[in-house]
Order: sequence, then C-alpha cells, then structure tokens
Amino acid sequence: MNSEKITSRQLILLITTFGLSVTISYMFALNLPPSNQDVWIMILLSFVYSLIFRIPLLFLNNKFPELTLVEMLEKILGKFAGKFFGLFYALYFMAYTIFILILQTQMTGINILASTPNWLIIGLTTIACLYIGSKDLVMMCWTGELVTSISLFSIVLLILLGLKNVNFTLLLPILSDSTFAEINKGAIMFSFLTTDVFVLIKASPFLENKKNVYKIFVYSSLFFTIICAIAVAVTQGALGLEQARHTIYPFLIYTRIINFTAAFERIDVVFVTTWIAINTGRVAFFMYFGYMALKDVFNIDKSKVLFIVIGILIGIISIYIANNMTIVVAQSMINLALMLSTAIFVTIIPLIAMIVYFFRRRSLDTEKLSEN
Amino acid sequence: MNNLSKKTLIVIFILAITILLTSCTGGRELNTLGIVVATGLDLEDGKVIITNEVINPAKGSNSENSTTQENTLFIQGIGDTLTEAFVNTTLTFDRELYLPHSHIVIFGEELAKRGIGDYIDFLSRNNEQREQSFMLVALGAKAYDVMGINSGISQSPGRYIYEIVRGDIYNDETRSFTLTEFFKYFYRPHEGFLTGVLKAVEKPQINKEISENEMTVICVKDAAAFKGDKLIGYYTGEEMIGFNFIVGELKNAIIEFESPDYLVDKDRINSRAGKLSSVQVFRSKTSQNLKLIDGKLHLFIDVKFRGILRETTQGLDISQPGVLKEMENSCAKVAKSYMEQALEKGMKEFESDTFGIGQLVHRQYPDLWKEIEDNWEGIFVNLDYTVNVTARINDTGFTNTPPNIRKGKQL
Repeated sequence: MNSEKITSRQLILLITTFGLSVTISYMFALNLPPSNQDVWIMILLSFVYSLIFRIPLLFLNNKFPELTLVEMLEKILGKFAGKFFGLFYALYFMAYTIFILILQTQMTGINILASTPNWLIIGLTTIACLYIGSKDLVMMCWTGELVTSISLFSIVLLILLGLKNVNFTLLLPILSDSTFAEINKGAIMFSFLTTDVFVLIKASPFLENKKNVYKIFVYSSLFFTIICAIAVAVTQGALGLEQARHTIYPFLIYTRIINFTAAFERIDVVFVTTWIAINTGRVAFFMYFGYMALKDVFNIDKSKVLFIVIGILIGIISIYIANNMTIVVAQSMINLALMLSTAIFVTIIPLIAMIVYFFRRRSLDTEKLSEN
Repeated sequence: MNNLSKKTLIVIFILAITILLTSCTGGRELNTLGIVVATGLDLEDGKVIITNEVINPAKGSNSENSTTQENTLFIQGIGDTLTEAFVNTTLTFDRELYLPHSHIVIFGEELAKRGIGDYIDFLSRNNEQREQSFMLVALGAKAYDVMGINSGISQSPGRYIYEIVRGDIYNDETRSFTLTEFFKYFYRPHEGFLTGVLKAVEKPQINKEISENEMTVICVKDAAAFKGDKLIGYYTGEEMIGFNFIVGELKNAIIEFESPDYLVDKDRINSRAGKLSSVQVFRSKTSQNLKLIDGKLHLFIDVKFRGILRETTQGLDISQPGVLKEMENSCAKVAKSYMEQALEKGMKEFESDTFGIGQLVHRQYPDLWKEIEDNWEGIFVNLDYTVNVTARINDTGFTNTPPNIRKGKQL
C-alpha cells in the first residue's frame, strides 16, 4: 500500500464525524422548518438536497482530480477570476474556522471549563491545530481516522445509553403537523448548513483511488444524515419538543440526564471531550484549507510562516469575538450567515465554474491532453 | 516504531495534553465550596428566600459523635430574584455554594400558588443545577419548614428526602419528577402537570431513649397539580394510584379491597375475620384510545394488571374454585374507582388536563386537534370516558387458605 495516500474509509469517517460535530452541538435543525416532531424526517430528506447542491463541486473535482480548488478555478475561469474567487475561498475558510473555534470555546466554557479564560482555551487549541496542520493533509487524515472513529463510537454509545429517557410518542403524529413545503424548505436550509464536502475536495488529490469521490461523498452523507436524524429524534424524545428548542446545547442536556446504571451517570463530560477532539480536528482542517487557498492564490511554496500567521490571526479574532458575544444565542443570524456562505461557496461559485467549463470543454480537454 | 507512527503518537499526546491542562486554571478546591444537597425556594414579603442545605465536611469526617443534624448547615439568602438571593448567601456564609450535588428543589406552597414561572429560569439556565434533581412542593408549609427533618438513617436531611422521593418505585401513591421531566410537561400547551409533594407529619416517638414524645417525619404521599405555572391543588394517594394507572406509569402499588361477603366461609372461621385483602400490583399495561361517537370525543382507558396477593383477612379460602376470580374482580373495581376519582378531580375540580389526553387527541386525530386545541380545556372538563380494568392475581404467596379459617377435611 502507498503510505502517502488517503484511503476512502478515512475520508468517510472524517466527513461523517465532522458533520456531526456542528449539527449535534447547538442542534440548529430544531429551529429550522418545520420545527416540530418531524425534524428528523426533514434531516433525512436533506440527504437528497445535499447531494444535489454539491454536484457542481464534485463534478469539477472529478474532472480535475489532481488540481486544488484554486488551481481548478484558475484553469476554468482564467487566472484573474480564479485568484479572485480563490481569495474569497481563503477568507471563507478562515471565517468558518473562527466560527467553529468560538463555538468550541463557548460550549467548553459552559460545561467543563467555566472559569478558564477564553484566550487560554483558544490559544491552546490554535497552537495544537497549527502543529497538526503543519503535518500536511495526509498526516491529518491518518490521525483523524483514529480520533474520529473513537469519537463516533462515543456519540453512538451516548445515544444508546440515553434511550431509557426517550419517550417516542412525542415524535407522533408523523407528518400531520408539517406541510410538504415546510419539510422541503427545512431540508434545503439544513443541507446548506454543513460544509464538510471541502474535506473531500481538498483531500481528493491525495486519494488512494480518485474514482471513489462520489462514493465517498454519498456514503459519508448517508451515515451523517442517519446518525444526525437519530440524535435529533432522541433528544426531542428525551427533553420534549419545546424544551429542546429552548436549550442552547440540547444534546449536551441529553447526555446530562443519562442515568443508565450507577456506572453511567454524569457522563456528559465524555460528550464534551469527544466533541472537543472532533472539533479541534475540524479547526485544524479548515485552518489548513485557508492556508492552502492563500498559498495557491499568491503562488507561494509551502510556507510554515504563512500558516502560523494565519493561525495567529484566526486566534486573535476568535478571542476578540468570544469575549464580546455569545454566538449561538443569535442562532437565526448565525444560521443565515452560514447558509448564505455555504450556498455561495459550495454551490453557486462551483455552478458558475461548471457552466463555464461546459462552454470551454473542448479547449480545456485539448489542453489537458497536451499536458499529458 | 517508524516515523509516521511516532508522529501520530505525538499528535495524539498533544491533543490529550491540550484537553487536560486547560482545566488547571479555574479549578476550585473542595474546601472552598459549600456543597448543596437540597434547595428550598420561598416567597416572603415579595422577596425570594433560597434555603440551601450544605454539607459540613468537618463534622462529617469526625462522625463518631456527630448527629445527622450537625452534618449539615442551612444557609439562606434573600433577594428580588433567585440569582440575587443565591449570590447573597456569600454575604453571610464563608463558602461559595456549589449546586451539582443538589438533588432536591422544594417550592414553598405560597410560592407555588403564586406561580413559579419567573423562578424556574434560574434552574434551567444554571449549568451547575443538575437536570436529575427532583422538584417538590411543600404541602401546607414553607420549603424551609420541611427541610432539616431527618427521621431516617441517611446522613443528612437532604439525603433522607432524596431517598424517600427515589423510593416512589416502591409506592405509587406518589410520583417523582426530575427537572427535565418538569420542563417537558411544563411546556406542553393546554395541559397541566404534576410535581411531587413533601409534608411534615408528627408521629409518636417509639425510641424510649429519646425524651420527646413525638417525632417529625417527611411524607411524600400525594402530588401537586399545576395549571400554567400555578399550584391548583393536590391529588391524594389513592388518586395518584389511579393517575399512574391512567398514564401507564404504575410501577408498584398496593390495592386494598373488600370481596363479596358471600365468599366468606363462615362455618370454618376460627378467629376474628377482617374486611380487606391487599394485592401488590407489579406489572400493568394501560392503553388509551379515543373515539368520536356522535361527533363527541370519548376516552377509553383499558388497564390490565397483574398482582401478588399479599394479605387477605376476610376469611376467604382462595383454594376454592371461583374465589380468586371474584377477588380479582373486586380488586379491579377498586382500581377502577381510583382512576375515576383521579379523572373526576382533574376534570371537575382542577379543570386541567394533567393526564396528557390532549397529546393523545393530537396523535390520534391531528386534524381535529388543530381545530380544538385552543378550546381543549373546555372540552376536557366534559369529556366522556370509560374505564375498563382487568386484574389478575398471579401469585398468592406461601399459603392458599388464610390462617383465620380452618382447612377442614375438604380436598
């Protein structure tokens, strides 16, 4: 086996677990239409929309498997437009990194490190992520496989241990209180709130089998959707529909009420540390993506200095925002910003590139043949 | 070990250190904390009084001669809000109160009647307050009146109350509700909810070495019914058995009943005969169903339960054919009466659906529910219902013929 390559299994695990880390943290799905007992159905339906809205990005990635995102955009849209969009991608990845870093800090601060200053949590996380990111993507995926498999197992175990508290009749009646439009609207919104397809896009040049891109995405989306739907359903069943929506971190409360036997109570710390582990990996990945995008835009060779500067900038901005606002309280604004940004960077820009590709297909294919 | 494995291990090590080391800041030593085991909330002159039972670690560690009362301290704080009252305890107490071990939250009756809606935000928002704490109302008293009583063998009054409340699995004349369950039912629209109850009861002192003639114990029988956020009344112990049957949450109850007199074999009685038999219910299944009859909702409750005959004093020879069957019928009648009492109280006196029937309408007739949900309380008070109970006595213990009748020469 070629040890410099990333396997399909690693990516499936990474994308599934990374997707779960945000969706079960503050469970934004509960406040998306239809906002009732049918939310789990809405999540399952979002699988279809998730596939549809990522077709342009996956298609382009499949056409240019050896190129990075910025290189792909440069090739299709031209140098100037490619770099222009590439810069925006870099900023998007950095902004997203800031968001998940602040989310991690505030959730950790609420539960296990209530008196620890934000600068310490963010600072140490940033340093760890800088070190992880400096080891390149292949190494990150290899390590991530270990961490995410344990984390995924922990999440599934926590779900099972809390089943005793779940009243499934709260999830009835099915589909009677929701309209077709509401379910679909919610599913579309939910599909735009997950961004982990970029892990696949950025890692695909290093994939063991580049033809597996679609398969990896379908499997990871399927697993993520199923586990997320189950997590949301059991949380609603345990806390009640309204209480789950009133709570900022519903799944955390779900784990706090686990009382399986004397050995399995007060194990919410297991969830928080699991979540920290996943999220730290996520921060490292998106920080690295921002660095990769900037590196490509400015044609810089591997530069650890640039990566460190990016990390420090992200850390400083995160500390400032974390000290001045509680981001998950303004959930509707955060969700709107996330949805819009994901729609633009996951669907709209790739769609534009895909359309341009179809117009320039002959010349691009000729260019590719001559390069080969 | 190759380079890749070494690097992997280093990364994992750094991750682990990152997680562990950050907890060194903000750590609080145990001897700076006042560990709260029970909390009481009252209202006096418009001010909130929070009473916290705090463990006294010094007395506990020198426990040879310390009494259970010395093991705890009761710290009160007063304020306009619960948070102010809580924080104000530090003005007079030398420790910061620490809530994660507080298993009991008691509302004084006056506060509960006024409405608890503006005092529960503190409980849901505070990250130290555990969701598994039990919510209780002090029947006819202030919360601090029922704290400080320890008539059991627990180390502290708070622990004593906690163990009694947890014991609802042994006696369904009560019901315990945790904070999470409290909020689950509190948020249900158009429906009421229950919490557990505490009352201080005087009993004769049996221990002759103690000088007092009476002792005070805590009784958790009954349950408090809320409508909106206000206390509206109490279900009695028998009504609670009926309630638990109706909602399908009965775990363990004793049903006392009188069987028909003609079953008593008066010829063979050789001692004083009593009136009652007792069956312990150990398994029950409830099915609730709604039907529209002539455009009106009709509730059908079918209960099947199995029990153990624990005692019979009437002089019934259960080894005779048909006797046990009749006893089962009598037992079922009494269980049915408990349920009907609970329903009547909920409908006519409280005018509040504490049974979750509204949720049943929502599940079975979702379209109808959309039309009637705003008027549900008015519909509920006039709801027709039919209760059917089937009892089975599966176990009669070690005897068939009770001691107060002779077996005789019959086979």
